[in-house]
Amino acid sequence: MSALANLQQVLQTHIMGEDEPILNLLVSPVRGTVHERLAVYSNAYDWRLIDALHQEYGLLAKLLGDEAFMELAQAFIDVYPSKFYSIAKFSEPLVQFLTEYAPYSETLYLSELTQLIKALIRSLEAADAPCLNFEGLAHVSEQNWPSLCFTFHPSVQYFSFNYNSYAIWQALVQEKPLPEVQLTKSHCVVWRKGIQSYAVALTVAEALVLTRLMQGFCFADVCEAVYDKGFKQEAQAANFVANLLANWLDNHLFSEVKRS
Amino acid sequence: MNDFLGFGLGLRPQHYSYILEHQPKIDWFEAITEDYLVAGGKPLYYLNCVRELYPLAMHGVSLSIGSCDPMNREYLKKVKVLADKIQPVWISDHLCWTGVNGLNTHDLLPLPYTEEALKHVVDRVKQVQDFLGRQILLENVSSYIEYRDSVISEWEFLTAIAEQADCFILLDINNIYVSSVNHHFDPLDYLNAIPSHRVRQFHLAGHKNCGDYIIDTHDAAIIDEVWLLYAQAVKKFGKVATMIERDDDIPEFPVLLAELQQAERIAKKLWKENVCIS
Repeated sequence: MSALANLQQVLQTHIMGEDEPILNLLVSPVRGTVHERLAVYSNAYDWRLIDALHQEYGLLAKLLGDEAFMELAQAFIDVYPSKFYSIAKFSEPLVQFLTEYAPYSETLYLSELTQLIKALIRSLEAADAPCLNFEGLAHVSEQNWPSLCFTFHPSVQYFSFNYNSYAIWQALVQEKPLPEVQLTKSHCVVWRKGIQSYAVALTVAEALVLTRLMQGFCFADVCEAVYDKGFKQEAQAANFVANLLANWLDNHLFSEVKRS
Repeated sequence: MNDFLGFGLGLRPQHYSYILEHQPKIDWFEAITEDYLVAGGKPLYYLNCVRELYPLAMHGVSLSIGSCDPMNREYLKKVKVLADKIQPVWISDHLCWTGVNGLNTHDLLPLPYTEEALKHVVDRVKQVQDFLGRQILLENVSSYIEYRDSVISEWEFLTAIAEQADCFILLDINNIYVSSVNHHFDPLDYLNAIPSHRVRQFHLAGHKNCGDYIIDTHDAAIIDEVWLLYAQAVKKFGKVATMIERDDDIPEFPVLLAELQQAERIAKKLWKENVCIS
């Protein structure tokens, strides 16, 4: 290993918190001590990463309290030191960390809440794409509707949660009393309209329509699934799906329509 | 690249709306490169809006030009794509390393001023410039430690890199001041040693004085000593694009604009007195 590579490895290891002997590589300052100077780097390392996490996951801090959030952040930094060129990406493995490491893995709604918060950030930075509007569907003749398939905007993300994580997130955002944590299936969709990101809860039937459309099923197939699963009578299924499409169209969830 | 760009500010999300609504009289903005290496959406929307109104420079913090890890090609490709989109007046980053072994400290760590480090950095700057198809600017960083291995001064190291790699220098006046206090040297020695033809931009910023040392925090107003050093830099280097960095405790836009106008007043007075070289 070259002298430069060795120096960089030793200093980085020290900054990241291990007791690496480094003093023989450094000059003593005229004022103060080498330890004080090294502490500037190691303190900045912790502070910078914790601050980056806090900026993204301020809602988690609100939920857990600042002290518990600091503990979580420090534990995460120790397990997942940043491998990303951008500090904004540093939190990528946070969901995995919360799923894998106790005590967080014992309260799995935390990882679901984290997924939801991250999804809102991702949707803000997702690729641009055209937004399908009502005019884009105006030319479609009635007999072609059954075979219509929809391409979603790149910002659209669907989540199926095992806890009432959406309700907890909503209460945190709206600064309302938190609901009790419940082990119950919940669904939501996250997307961007203009330069604002949104998250909305879905019923089981709405989630079925969304996931089938995302999987590339056409209008007729989705209507059939709604009827087959017993959510609507056969005569009402098409109306139910069409109303949802109109709502999602209005909210810029689609980029394109084509015939299967 | 020789045209004088004027006086600019760092582009920060807190100021997007103000800038677009008021279109303040300012010559240019400097955008943090990494904030815009995304697929699309809000950050790029605002960057494009600002670009339609002002010249932009791209200023990176992740090049890690001095690291012993291989160059991050994925990162460089994204920088090139962004540069092709927004056509910046120039691309700058720091003379430092940020991590090794695939890890990133997200800090601007100093290099030892050795022959080995010099050759290593010169080779990598040439690689980056070849890849981007343009010369880059490298900025001097603030530092808090000095290595026993160093055999030349920081200003000799910076100059040698700029000359041998044929790149330009972004001279951070506050960083020179901070390091001069931390490492007990005369900041004028630093200024006087830097070749004028390599300097394309000045940075100014505030810092935190901790008594025995100073930390480069970018969270406060510029202090008098740094303004005085800036005046010395204007005298030596002439008309050089100048901007103020503020990354924490960011005030309202007009507060920063007023601080920038102070830089403009200092520079214009000196130009008028015709005491500068160029």
